[in-house]
Amino acid sequence: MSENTETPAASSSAEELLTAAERGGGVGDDLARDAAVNDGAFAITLALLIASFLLAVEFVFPSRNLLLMFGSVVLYGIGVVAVVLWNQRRRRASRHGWAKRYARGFAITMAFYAIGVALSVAPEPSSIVFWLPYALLTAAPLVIAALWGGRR
Amino acid sequence: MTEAKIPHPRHGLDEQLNAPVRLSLLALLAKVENAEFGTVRDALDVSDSVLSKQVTQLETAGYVHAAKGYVGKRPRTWLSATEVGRDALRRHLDALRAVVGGL
Repeated sequence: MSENTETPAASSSAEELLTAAERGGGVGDDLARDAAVNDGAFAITLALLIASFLLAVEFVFPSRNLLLMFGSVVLYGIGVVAVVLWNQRRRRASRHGWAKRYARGFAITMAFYAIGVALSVAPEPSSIVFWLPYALLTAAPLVIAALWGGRR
Repeated sequence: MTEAKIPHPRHGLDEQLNAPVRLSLLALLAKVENAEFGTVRDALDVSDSVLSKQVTQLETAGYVHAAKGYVGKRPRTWLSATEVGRDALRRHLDALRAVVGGL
């Protein structure tokens, strides 16, 4: 802290400064709330896209229908690019700890996704009873990251 | 024996935060991980140049960090409060409350 020669009276009164701090803090709270909605929508949409693509890999790819395979890859690619661009353009602030929570959630989701892709090459026939819950499990870490509130 | 003298709360005040705009700015940034320059400018109802000047002062003091980036071709500046800045804000607000409480 610097040597304090300037008292509040020399610039602004203590009450004025407290009001300014409260106003700034209030605006910060509003920004954090908006960021929670924006970042949350982004992470949940991305999680659902990844989970849907995993289901496509399991149920569409084995059909060897090139049009369906190509269509699902293109849809997934367009969806990911669109949601990332939408988030980049809309984002005005981030909640406390968001970058870390998102990175952790994304990494775990991608790990589940990779395991899912590895399992999908197994010779057993695909069962929706297994793959639907597994797709939801894949999406879960990103969804949890989205819904987990920041502290402070 | 001499009595231990309790320092007046004004000695706990931080010179950098005696300006309302700088204090509002740091109080805002303390509530988020980071915020975009234009959004902060609009929220605090100040001009680009005023905010820029205040950010530079707080950056020099080590209270705020400004990071430049791009969204497409548009430049964006992201502002965040450092841990030093958050601590300074806490101490300053405690001192202000003590000053006001002493009235």
